[in-house]
Amino acid sequence: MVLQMKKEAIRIERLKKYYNNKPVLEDINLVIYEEEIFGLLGPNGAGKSTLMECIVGLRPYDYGEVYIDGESLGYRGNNIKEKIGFVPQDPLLYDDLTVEENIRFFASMYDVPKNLVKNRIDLLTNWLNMHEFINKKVKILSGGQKRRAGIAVSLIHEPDILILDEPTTGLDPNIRREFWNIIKKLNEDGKTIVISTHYMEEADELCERVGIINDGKILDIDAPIELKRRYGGSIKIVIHVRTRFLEKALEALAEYNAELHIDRIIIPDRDESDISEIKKYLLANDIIPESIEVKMPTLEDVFIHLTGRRLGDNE
Amino acid sequence: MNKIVSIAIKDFKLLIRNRSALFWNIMFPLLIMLLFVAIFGRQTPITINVGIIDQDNDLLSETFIEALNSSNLTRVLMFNNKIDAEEAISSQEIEAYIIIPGGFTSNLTSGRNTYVDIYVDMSNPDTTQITEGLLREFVSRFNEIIREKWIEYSEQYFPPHVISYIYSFAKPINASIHEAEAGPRVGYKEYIISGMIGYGFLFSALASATNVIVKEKEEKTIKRIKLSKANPWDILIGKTIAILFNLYLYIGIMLGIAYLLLKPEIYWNIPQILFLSLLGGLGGIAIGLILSILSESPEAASGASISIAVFLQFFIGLYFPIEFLPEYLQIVSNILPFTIIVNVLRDTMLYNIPLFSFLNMILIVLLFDVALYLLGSMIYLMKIQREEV
Ligand SMILES: Nc1ncnc2c1ncn2[C@@H]1O[C@H](COP(=O)(O)OP(=O)(O)O)[C@@H](O)[C@H]1O
Ligand SMILES: [Mg+2]
Repeated sequence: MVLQMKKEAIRIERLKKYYNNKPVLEDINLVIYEEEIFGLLGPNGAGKSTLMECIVGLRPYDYGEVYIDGESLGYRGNNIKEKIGFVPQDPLLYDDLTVEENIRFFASMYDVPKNLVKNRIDLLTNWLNMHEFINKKVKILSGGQKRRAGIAVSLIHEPDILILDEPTTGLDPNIRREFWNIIKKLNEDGKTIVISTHYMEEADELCERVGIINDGKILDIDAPIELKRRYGGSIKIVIHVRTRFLEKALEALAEYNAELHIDRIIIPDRDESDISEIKKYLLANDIIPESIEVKMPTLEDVFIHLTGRRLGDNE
Repeated sequence: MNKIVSIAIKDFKLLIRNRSALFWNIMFPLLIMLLFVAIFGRQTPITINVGIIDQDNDLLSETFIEALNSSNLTRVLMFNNKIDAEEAISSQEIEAYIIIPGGFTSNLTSGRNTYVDIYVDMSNPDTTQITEGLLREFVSRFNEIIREKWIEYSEQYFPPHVISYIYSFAKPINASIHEAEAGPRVGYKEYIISGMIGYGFLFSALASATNVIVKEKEEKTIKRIKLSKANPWDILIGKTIAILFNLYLYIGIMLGIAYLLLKPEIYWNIPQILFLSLLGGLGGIAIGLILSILSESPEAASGASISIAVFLQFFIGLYFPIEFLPEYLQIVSNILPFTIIVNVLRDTMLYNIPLFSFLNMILIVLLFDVALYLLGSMIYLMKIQREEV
């Protein structure tokens, strides 16, 4: 057997953080390995931003320790600063400067040699497709353009670790996909990626490992497929009917072990082959279903299983 | 070093790209200057102010002064010496001054002739004529009165028609007219220009300093800077340089426009003006820095610094001499370092008084600047390291 030793990029030990004596992060233990894409999946207010800003050193914490490449964050030497790129949830750029001016300014803040900057800006412009707006002031850019500019700024010092706080929140689904490709490419280039999201598809599609976070606690960490296997249940059929028919439909499908899940009916352990039969049953009872679909277990199911609540506003 | 320069350039760009700040920091004071000059700069005197240097201090010199003062056309201001009187001519406080020599009363009462020296501001042809005519007329009237006294007195000894005949040729007081050696004209436009530099201390420096520091926090771009390798001193010094450039930009534009439109007669001692502006600017930045840290929210800080600037502009002698203020307010004005610098700037531009004449005042202001700036920096450094932004 070949024992593959993965190197640690970030290690978080027993991290605790309080606001006004209220715990916001409770005993976080987490290791992120080099060159992986790690996702933090949790709803708004779970503590994702707080945890990320603790990791990059923007927020002090009350207990525990964070190590970057084995070096304690407490010292926050330039060594660590060079290794980390952080993409905050809001792009945090100077509105009255152009994108290029923003990038150049932060290049200087990281002591990037002047002769390298031009080259890197060209690369980033190509790569993030910023030609159209590289010389425009940030204040007139669209949301997606601002995010791309923000990523460019965070990459100008070529960090090994890139930490992105909800980089696609509020973006169109197609644009979100573009961002996923960007992040995947960064990872292929050898960067360690930590990304937070409340979109389960994003965590599922992008991340090698996902930490489920809720109320300041990490509930489990594993590959999405493992999490789904462990908590997501099996394949099932999901039925949407008008609210007033819910009760009746549930009765009609009793022998299928139908369950009510908030606003929908779920029939466990069934797949496509059962759909036509179920449809007949419903119609026989004068219930016209709005939709019937087969559903593979998702990270949403994992989250519901672990917390008893939904992830939230998934479009 | 690179980082300081980059921060300075970045903040300077942000300052001059901010339309509303540009209006309040540059356009507005220019309008104020032109407007105030248009309003106050044209006044022609209704009464003529006459300075008196009374070296006699006796009965008749006092009668002379009272007579001059009781006329509706003239108002008397007393001076102790020629230097003060000349200064008053320069600043257009008086149009002329009269020196009453010692022995004025004793000569006249013993029937001897005497004289007065009249110095007239001849730089303004309109007022020169009026002033000269008015004062000649006054002296000759006064002579008549004295003559009558002399006649009354002599009647005891001579027949009246002989006396009036003799004295009709006598001139008890001989007035000789001289040109006052006034320096350059100090009109309102010359006066207000040094004041407008002081406006920059309050708005381009003080209010902008608060704005620049607070904005970084408000927009949270300070997070990115904190993540980077820049340290808090880089931030502070970079911003200070940006604000000084902002101040000098304003002063440059203001002086340029004043030069072109108002053609003021001032001494263009640029190095001294720039140095004094640095002192005033640093004081403004120090106060702006402290305001930015003491206030809870960014809005409160901006509000506080704008209010203070708006308020202070009337108390540091920008638009009118602080002597116009009630006495208790003058006390406040006089301890403000901005007042000191504006005054020194005015003396520089109006009389070309060299810097070393103000050495102790400059040291006081420098001390004030350094103490306040260091205090502000210390609090800023502590806060930025501890605070979550
Ligand atoms: N500066 C703060 N002061 C007080 N409470 C805060 C502060 N920042 C975050 N919180 C609280 O901490 C919790 C986690 O917030 P956050 O980390 O922003 O969550 P997420 O990024 O997952 O949406 C929330 O309940 C939030 O109200
Ligand atoms: Mg967040």
